[in-house]
Amino acid sequence: MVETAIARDSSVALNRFTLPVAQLVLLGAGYFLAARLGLEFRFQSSQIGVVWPGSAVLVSALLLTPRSSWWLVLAVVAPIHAAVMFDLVPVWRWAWQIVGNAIFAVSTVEALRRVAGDPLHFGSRRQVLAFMAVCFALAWIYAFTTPSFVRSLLGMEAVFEPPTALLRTALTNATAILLVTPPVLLWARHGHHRLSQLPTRQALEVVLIVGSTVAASLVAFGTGPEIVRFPSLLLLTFLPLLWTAVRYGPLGASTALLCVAALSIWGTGSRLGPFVMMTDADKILSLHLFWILMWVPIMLLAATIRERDVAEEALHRQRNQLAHVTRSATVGELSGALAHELRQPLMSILANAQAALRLLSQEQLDLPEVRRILEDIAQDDKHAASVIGRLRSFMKDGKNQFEPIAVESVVRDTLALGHSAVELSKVKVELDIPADLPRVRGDPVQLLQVVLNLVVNGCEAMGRTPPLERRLTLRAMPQGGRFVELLVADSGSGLPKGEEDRVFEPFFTTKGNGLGLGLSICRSIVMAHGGRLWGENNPERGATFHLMLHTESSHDGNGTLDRGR
Amino acid sequence: MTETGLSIAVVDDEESVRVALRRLCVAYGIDAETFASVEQLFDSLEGRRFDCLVLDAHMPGYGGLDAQTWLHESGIRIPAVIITGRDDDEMRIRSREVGATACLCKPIDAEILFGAIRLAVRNSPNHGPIRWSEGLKRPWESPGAEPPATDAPNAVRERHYRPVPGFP
Repeated sequence: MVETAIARDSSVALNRFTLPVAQLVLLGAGYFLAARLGLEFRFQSSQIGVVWPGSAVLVSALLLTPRSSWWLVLAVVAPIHAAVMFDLVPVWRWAWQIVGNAIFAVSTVEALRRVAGDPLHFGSRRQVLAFMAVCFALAWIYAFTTPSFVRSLLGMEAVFEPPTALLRTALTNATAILLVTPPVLLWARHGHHRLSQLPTRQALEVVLIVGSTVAASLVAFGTGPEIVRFPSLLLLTFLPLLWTAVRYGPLGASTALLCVAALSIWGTGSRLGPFVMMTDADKILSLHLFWILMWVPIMLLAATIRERDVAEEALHRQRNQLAHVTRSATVGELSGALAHELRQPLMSILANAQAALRLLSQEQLDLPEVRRILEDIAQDDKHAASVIGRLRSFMKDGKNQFEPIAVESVVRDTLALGHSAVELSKVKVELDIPADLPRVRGDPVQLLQVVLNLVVNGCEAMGRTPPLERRLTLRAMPQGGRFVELLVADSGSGLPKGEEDRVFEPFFTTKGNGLGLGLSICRSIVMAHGGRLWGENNPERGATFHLMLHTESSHDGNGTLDRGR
Repeated sequence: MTETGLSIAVVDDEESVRVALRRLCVAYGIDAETFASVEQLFDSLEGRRFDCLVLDAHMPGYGGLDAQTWLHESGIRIPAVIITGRDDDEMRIRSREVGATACLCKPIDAEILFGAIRLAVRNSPNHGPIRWSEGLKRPWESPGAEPPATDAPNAVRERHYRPVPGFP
């Protein structure tokens, strides 16, 4: 006992200790790699690299850690920066860089948290634009403080004119953050989750996307100088980027952008691709412009699509909540009938039990009769339990998953749940449901809700019909192989003439007591199932409601309901 | 408490309730005959004499209150107890108006049921066997038969804001 407690304690301590250590090691390795790459990606005569991913890694790390641990991050990064730069630049210069980078990264993160919001998810256009604005603004400010600008301003370094040094430093840092930070953040937060939930079909699509991204980048940046004759080929990279943005949101889009950018650096550095004829300075500027011009529309598109998905999901959630609320209202309306249905078995149980008690007090014990009584009590008890069970499952906040379901079972469940209501309304129900009907696809609880609503409405509409003529007909039939149609016909008062469809409007009611939401929510449920629901008056008397649902096989299996993520 | 010697008719559409009530009556020494519908009861009323009718108010077709109303309006005074699955004040008032002694809500304790029956029998004038030929037509046989307004406010339509005991 004590040992396990100690073991658990030590494992907790180990977790508390190893997890940050692993992350810090990862950060150190990442920063080292980024700095080395930044140094690699510089063209011959340039003092400044094409891109400085080191600052982007630092910004990402700070964004992912709470403020209280920032000193740890900075403490890990500083010696690595020094180690990388040790041989290349004088001590004062890398020390300046370390301090400058730290201030730049911290202020960028603070500004991002304030302006763009926390956490960064790149799922809204506002956040994407704010992220970009902060990156550029801070990178420009930072550029004024770098050794290369200050020294060129003082005339101590002759490699660049001051404005050029400014522009290069700003763009190098800004583009690095634009390209590296979003994928690092998103992968760190959601990458594992998204990957582990990837269905096989989508995994195949991801492979195709990666392949086409690499292929398009190779065509645009990895071919020989002849590419210069067809500069439009540069736009080829746009296609896989669009594909990724549409299908895989900000995570996919930012990753693909990083991939394209990396290959463009590699191609341009290897004297290939469309920028081959330019001076090194122009090459770098062209690359920066290319990245920014790609990044903005692709990330905005991904954000717009994510916004739409989120809105759709919220709508879907609201519809389900509304469906649940109207189900509660239906149960409220049926409460009298349901109470009646429960009181029947309770009556039999009580009468049986009291009869048995009476029998037991008699001198001549009729044991077989007592046995029969007890059997009946058990039977009635089960019946009462089934009434409650049906009610509970109807009130369950559904999992909203479509599954193949037989129309017959929906109708059977409906009539079981509405049994008392139908009976108390003195309505005779006629069923005509062929046994070989194809199954439909839908949410069982919600379909039950729709049919129950139609049945209860039908019964209510027959309040003024003489009891012996109160007839509710449920007829199902296949419609052209792709649909199943269920008709619910009553012999009641019918729909208001000339505005039959108005009964589906919210808050439209012909009853004194209804919310007027029943049919409108029914229609939205059916539409979410890809089906149709409408009503019309019968030639002689009453109304018929038509419910069209997709058959199991015709449905694409991806109804609006379970769309989203 | 023994009601030995009484002969009553029980009308309820639910078989389990019919069986249970008959058992209860037999156990208490009461002679009970059960019917599944008002029509069945009326068909066998001819020449019979029941001390009391126990009528379920809600049945498909004609309800117990309809039956009691017709009997009452036809001047036939048989002691009657209405039993109902719905806790309904209006039902109680109407039952009294048409001469039923009590309107009891299911589930009904044996003491209460038999107490009501005893009261009904004690209060009612001594009545003889029923003769349909004596001017009473079965209501559904008369032309243009409409059920009385008892069930006009549709059962489903009524809303219950009161919590129903024993209901989740």
